[in-house]
Amino acid sequence: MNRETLQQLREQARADRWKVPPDVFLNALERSAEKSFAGRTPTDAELNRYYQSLHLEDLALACACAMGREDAWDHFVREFRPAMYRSADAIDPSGAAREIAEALYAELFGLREKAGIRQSVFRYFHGRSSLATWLRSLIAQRYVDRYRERQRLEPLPEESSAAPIRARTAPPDPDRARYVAALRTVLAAAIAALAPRDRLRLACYYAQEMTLAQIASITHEHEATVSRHLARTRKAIREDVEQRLATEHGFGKREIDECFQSVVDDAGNLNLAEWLDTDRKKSVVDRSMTEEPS
Amino acid sequence: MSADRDRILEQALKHELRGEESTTPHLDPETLAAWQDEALDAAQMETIELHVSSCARCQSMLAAFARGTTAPPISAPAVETPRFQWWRWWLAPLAAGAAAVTLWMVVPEQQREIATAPPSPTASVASTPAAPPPAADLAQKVDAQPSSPEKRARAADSDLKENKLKVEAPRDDRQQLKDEAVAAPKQEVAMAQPTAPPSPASTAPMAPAAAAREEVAGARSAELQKSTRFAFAPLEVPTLDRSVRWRVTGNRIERTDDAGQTWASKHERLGENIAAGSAPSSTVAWFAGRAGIVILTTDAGATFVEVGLSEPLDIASISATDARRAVISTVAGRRFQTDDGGRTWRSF
Repeated sequence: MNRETLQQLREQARADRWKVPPDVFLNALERSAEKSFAGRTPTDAELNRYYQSLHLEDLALACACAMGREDAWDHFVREFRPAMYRSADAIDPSGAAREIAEALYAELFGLREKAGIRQSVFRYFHGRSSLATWLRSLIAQRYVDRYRERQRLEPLPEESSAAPIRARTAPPDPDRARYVAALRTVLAAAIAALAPRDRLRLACYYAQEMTLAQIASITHEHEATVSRHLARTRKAIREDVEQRLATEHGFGKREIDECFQSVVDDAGNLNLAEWLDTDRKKSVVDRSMTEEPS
Repeated sequence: MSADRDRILEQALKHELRGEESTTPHLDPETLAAWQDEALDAAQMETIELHVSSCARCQSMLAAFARGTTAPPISAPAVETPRFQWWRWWLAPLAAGAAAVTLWMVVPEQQREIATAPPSPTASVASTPAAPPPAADLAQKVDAQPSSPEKRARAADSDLKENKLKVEAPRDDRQQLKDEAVAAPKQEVAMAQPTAPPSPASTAPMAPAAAAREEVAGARSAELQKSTRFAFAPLEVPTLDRSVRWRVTGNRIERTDDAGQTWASKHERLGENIAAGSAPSSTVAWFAGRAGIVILTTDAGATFVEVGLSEPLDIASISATDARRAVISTVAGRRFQTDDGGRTWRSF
């Protein structure tokens, strides 16, 4: 990058306000581009467009905070920290996310040193998003990872691990397992065949149990649009499932009814265990530990 | 059988979509933030959407992020004043006039009478703004703040360690108050929304069927709280009167009659389960949501009546024309209509 371009970007970022040296700011820009264009070399025009698209003021503030500039920290504490905490409280009103936000604040400051250099988490901010969005994202990631970690360590509740299997009043239907397996197979295929956006909405609604408003906020759609797409997708899945049961398994109307009914015949633990049988369980490896720690 | 299949399919979807993790690398927070700020190119956006659509862990992170987003927005430093857009000045009254004429033609006379009824005295008392905290208190909070950023970071670190020792101890919010006092005392005072205590009518005992429905919705909310379920985003419901609006925030249903300057809490039990609302007049409002819950007020929130569905269906939208007639749509696409104020609902 030539000196004029760097100077222009520094001016846009108001880097002098926090006394961020040119080489530090240049280093931040280059790391940002390196991450964004991973695996390929961008053209000069691409790079210029990319730099212009960055949240430069936030990037300069992050550089200054990482360097420990006191006035930058005052600004951060005044403008960002309260909202960080409000966001954490919205994620988990019980205070668990607030703890994470407090720990993050200490890490942002960089209390730990490595080879005499402060290790601030700010170095992982690349300016592609606003600083506010990045902070929320960091809290969300840490909260979810902590939650999942705790879930792995907690023993299964007694009622699901040691409860006696209920005695059946009637002999089991020999075809039931076949119907359950068939329905599960075609349902998985129907879900896999969906467009990613449709699958994402469906997963957010049914698996994550998010509200329509929350889904709308992440898909950048109107709530009514999300609702309409959900209804359409579910209808399409049902039609797909029924068609696959007929064509791939050769089932007639009565057998398709049996397939659906077989899923609810044994409501409760037994049914759940069947849906989550061992061959479907995957080892939960927290790959986030191998990613950059931001 | 058709409705049964839909219900069974919903249960099956919950199991099928839960617990799977993608084999491709997870999203890191920086990429998630860039994706949410739409700062990536089209190919990157597609790649990420494809991953997130099949990865339970990243979906959980997205859900947490979405909930965090419902918090009040982070104040952006040095926001540039938007340029004057002259055309908005004549477009707004034009649109309002067209809407008013349309509504006058559509809304029946009876409902117009309801709309012009004076608000109950309870509402006006409830919406009285609370006095702001004394400035001296805020100054004291500012003084109590550690002097340098490093001290503050170390204080946060040591607070965290102390909190870890007292796992079940209730949170002390004084630190937050200090932070907010430092952040912008004047803004915080101006933003403080007074909330009145719930009116006695809103906590009156409900009919057994309504209580059962509420129990279903409550149990679902509690179950969701245990997982990575997150709070409902604030929902605003406008009325024909521009100064009167409703909003659902947290577990509360609130009403303003001064264009949002003050909000009075009108109902504090079912808010978390509300997904949609419709207010055909300034005193009549319908709210609907999870597990078939529908509640109706015809007296500006002084009392609410539970008029929900007999089945625990999740309701996505509601559109009401007056205190008697409303149409709801469930997430599954089913539609129900009432002509008797919610006493009976018929599918159509």
